[in-house]
Parts: sequence; C-alpha cells; structure tokens
Amino acid sequence: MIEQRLRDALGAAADIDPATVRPLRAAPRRHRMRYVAIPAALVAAVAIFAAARLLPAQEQPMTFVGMSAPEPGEIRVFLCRKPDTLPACRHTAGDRARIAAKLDTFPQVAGYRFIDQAEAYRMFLRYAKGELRDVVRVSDMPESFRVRLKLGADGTPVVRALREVPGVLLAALG
Amino acid sequence: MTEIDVLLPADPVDVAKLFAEHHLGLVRLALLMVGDQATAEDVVQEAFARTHVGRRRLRDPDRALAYIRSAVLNGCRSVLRRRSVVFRRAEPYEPPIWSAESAVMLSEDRREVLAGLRDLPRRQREALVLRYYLDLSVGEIADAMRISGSSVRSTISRGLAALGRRLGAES
Repeated sequence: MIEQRLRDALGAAADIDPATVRPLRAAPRRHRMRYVAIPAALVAAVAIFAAARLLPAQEQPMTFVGMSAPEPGEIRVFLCRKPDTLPACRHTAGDRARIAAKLDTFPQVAGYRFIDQAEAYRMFLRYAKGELRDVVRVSDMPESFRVRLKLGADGTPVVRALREVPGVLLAALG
Repeated sequence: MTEIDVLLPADPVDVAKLFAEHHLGLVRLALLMVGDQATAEDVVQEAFARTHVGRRRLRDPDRALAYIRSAVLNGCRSVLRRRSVVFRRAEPYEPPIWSAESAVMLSEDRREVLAGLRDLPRRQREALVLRYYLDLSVGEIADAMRISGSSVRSTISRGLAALGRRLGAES
C-alpha cells in the first residue's frame, strides 16, 4: 500500500514536460584559473623581455611591477623559464651553475644570491595588488640572481657580458 | 567502415545513445532529489559531461549507465549539501516542487507522501526513489549508490517503515 502511494506521488512529482528540458549545453571550461594564469605568465615574460630589449645601451636602473625595490649597486639576472614562452630564451638544466660560474669571474662582483620561484613569489605577494595576486602562481615566477657589486664598481660590463650567457633572460642594473 | 574507422579504436561507451535514452529519466530522478528542474538539468548535464570525458577510462563500459546514475546522485548530494550550508542560518530552502505553487498540481495525499519522503535520511530517500520511481533492481540500486545489495534491501525496508510511520502519524 505504502509502495503504491509512493510510486504514484513520485510519478506525479517528476512529471515534467520534455519540451521544457533544456538541450545539452557546452560544458563550462574546467580549470578556468589555469587559462587565466597562462596569459599572466606570458605577459610577465613579454614584459621582462621587452624591458631587456628596450633598455638603453647604458643599462639604466629599472624596476618591475610586483617585484621588490632594487638596491643600489645591484644587478638582477633573470633566468629563462622552464618551459619558456619566449622562443629566443632556452632553459637548460645547467643554466644556474653556468651563470654562477660566470659571476665568479667578475672582479666587480662582491657576492650574489640565488632567488628561486618560491622566494620570488613571496616577494611578488608583498607588492602585487588586486587580480594579479589571483592569477599569478609560483610556477609563473622567474628564477633570478641578485648580484651585489663592490663599492664604486661599474656594473655595465658585467650586465653586457651576462646577457650573452645562455639561459639568461634578462640582466639589468638595480 | 572507412580506413579511419579501422585505425581508430571505437569509443567503448556510446554516450550519445545513453543520453538519448536516459536523459529525461535522469532529469526526473534529479528533480525528485533536488526539487527544481533547472538544478536537476545542470546536475544531469554534469554527469553526462563527466562520463563523456572519462569514457575511455571506464573499466566496464557496460556499466556506463550505472556510472551516470551514480554521478547524478553524487551531484544531487552536492547540491543539497551546498543548500544546507547556505540556508543553515537562514530560512529553510523550499524547492519549487514542494512549494505552494506546485502543491496545487498534486493531491493532498501525494503531497503528504512527498513531504514524508523529503524528511527521510538521505540514503533512505535515494534508495526509495531509485526503487519506486525508476523501478531499478536491488543490484542496479547497489551500483548507483555504491553500497551492497543487502544494504539496499535493509535501507529500503527501513525507509518504507519510517515513511509509513510518518504518514500514519499525519493521517
């Protein structure tokens, strides 16, 4: 008896007109944030690349949006990313060691520190605002060296030489 | 059969055929669970979309329909969970098929039965709807709910008893 009442009620409640059922729609894109992050990374890489190419020949000091303020007498060396969005910039496994070895050859260099993606992201979070914080991820950040110059040393030849080292995306005076 | 048909492995699951045969029934099933047609359609669409994406990974293509039913039930549970969180401190949510507007379409007796069903625990409600609306066998219900056959039988039995008590108390 109860079963029959249940069948009857369920049948009546579920009685919808098939004509009112919407046809299948295109499924919403999954991983929407991932699609947003890729252009953000691309924009960041293009910005760094453009900055490198557009820098005046005398390598004037520069800053990047979302990065901490540079110290005077400092060189920043950004490494190509893996994989990189810029075909001209090829990342290889030995980039970091090769660049460190090159830095050791300059008498103008007092010391240097490697900044990995996680640390770069922490710095980025300190300065970034709004939507940029949501779309940029750790994997979007470039690795870099911060190079400290000796007091009074001219960093221009160092920057020029570093730009020729494979795996360097950008070298600039801080 | 073209050369390409021979070279390409056939889809193990014909999702389009399943959709044509079972879409409306599953929307009705979801409607009974979540209470409104728009949400039911969304839940079923998501279930079909997931099945389509994962059709090559199904271990047993013959059980694709059971997989979709299970996905629909899971989708309904997610909807109800979200509603319970949203409305925990607000007024209770009244889905359209239980609402006053829809009530005029149903007799008093049917409304009592549906209200009693709605108040049952989630597992009993699902088992009763699968059994007495879709007329699924115990094995099919077990597949859809991912529980054993004996659990299905005992859940249906407890659900019917609880519903009978509620209806008896109301009448």
